[in-house]
Amino acid sequence: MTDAKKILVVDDDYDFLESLQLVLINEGHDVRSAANGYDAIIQYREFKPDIVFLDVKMPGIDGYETFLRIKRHDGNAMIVLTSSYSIDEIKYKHAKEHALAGLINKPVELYSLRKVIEKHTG
Amino acid sequence: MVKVKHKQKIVTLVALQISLIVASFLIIVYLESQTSHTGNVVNVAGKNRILTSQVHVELNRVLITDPPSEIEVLRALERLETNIMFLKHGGNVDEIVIDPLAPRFDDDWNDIWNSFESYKSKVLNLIRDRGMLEKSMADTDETSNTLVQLSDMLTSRLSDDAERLTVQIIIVQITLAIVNVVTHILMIILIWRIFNRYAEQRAMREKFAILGEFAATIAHDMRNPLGAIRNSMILIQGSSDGKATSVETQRVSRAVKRMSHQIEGVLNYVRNVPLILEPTSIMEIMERSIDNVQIPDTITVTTPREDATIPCDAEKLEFVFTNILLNATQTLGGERGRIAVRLDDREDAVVLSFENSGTNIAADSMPKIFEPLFTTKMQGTGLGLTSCKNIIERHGGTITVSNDPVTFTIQLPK
Repeated sequence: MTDAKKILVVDDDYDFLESLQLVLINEGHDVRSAANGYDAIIQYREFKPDIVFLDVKMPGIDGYETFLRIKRHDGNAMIVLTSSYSIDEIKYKHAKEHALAGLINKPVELYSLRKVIEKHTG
Repeated sequence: MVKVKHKQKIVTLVALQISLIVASFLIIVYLESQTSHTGNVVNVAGKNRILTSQVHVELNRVLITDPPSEIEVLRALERLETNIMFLKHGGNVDEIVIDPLAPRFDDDWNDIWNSFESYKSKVLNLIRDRGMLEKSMADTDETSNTLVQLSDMLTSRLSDDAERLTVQIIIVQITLAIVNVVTHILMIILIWRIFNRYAEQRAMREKFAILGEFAATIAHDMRNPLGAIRNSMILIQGSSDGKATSVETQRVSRAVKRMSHQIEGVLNYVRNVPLILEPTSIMEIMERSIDNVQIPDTITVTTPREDATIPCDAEKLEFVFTNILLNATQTLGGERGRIAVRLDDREDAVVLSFENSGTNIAADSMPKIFEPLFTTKMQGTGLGLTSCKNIIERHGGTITVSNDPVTFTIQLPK
């Protein structure tokens, strides 16, 4: 098992959010969750996570916008987008230019999760 | 490809039309020059009559003048002779151009020439012996008439010939006009058909795009619940020790994997998802892909010892490898068989080949195998190999298939 990390999981799908949170807790991490972009920004400021798993498609402000707002607050924020594939190429490139840590597709494999966490919080 | 083919057809037809127009123009110019030459020949032949009568007039003048001057008679004779020779050999005299007389008129010309020779000798005799003049005049008249008649005959034959040529030119012009019109019509029909086909194809594409978007939306919406199921399965597996639970959770996990694979097939085809390129070990992706496919014990799988690390989208390549391995497994069915994966690490590319001992792909299926919605299986969307091709090509690589034994070869640039 890897060292415990502070992880923020953001997703508007409650089942997915809770199950991912539990999987990560099972992995031994300190995990918090947020159900939308606004909540994610507040939680980020309070919690200061090592890594954020951020859903792309959400009501209100979407993943890209949330990503940019968190980045404005903390340029070193480690953010990985989780997507169900509806990727807007222009927005994705824009996020890449602002040091997006990565993108993983749902349904997220435990293998990829571990690899991503290890790589970006190492 | 289709566009290029049509473009080539149109370019060929336009080139054909231009060459037809140029050819028609050249043919007409040539024939026109021929008619003008032929018209000139008729005129030159007709001139014999005038020139003969001039000789005659000059001869009569000799009879009445005192002292007589034969020089004009000789000049008139010379003009006649020159004209007859010009008629035979052609050339350019006083801006009038004629070709040498056609061989088929040689007999006529020889007759004229002989008649002229006889006329000339008679005229010269008359001039030399003026005593004879009055007496022989009638005989000379007759010879001159014969010469005129022969000349007229040739003139008339040449004139018939010129007329025939004019008719021929009209026929050629009409034929060329018809050929041109037919080519134009063919061109219009072809363009019309191409446009029609384009319209059909576009309508098909639009229809398919709508269906694709619809499928993509459904597929996309299924990913979140699938994600939740997968996560929950991980949690259940982690918290349970029972063997039965483990077998069942594994079954559910496999089902989730299969559903994810299908969804990825649709999405990879319909949406141009950006590649996330990271240096990754090919064999690591291969192992996960082999894991994804439930390969029965009856099939022996051999994998290469070599490995190579290249910049690639690991998830997408995993989809490709899984798809090819799954196809091979389904082809072999429950039969004993073999899947051999080989890796060739070249200087500028990695070449992977997936060989299986299944039956060959039917010859008529070969060209269609990477086309969307083509499938010979009961299961599958018919998008698997199309998506594979799409993914490999977006990596800048190639994917090909061959028989004896069935082998899929993937080349990925480094």
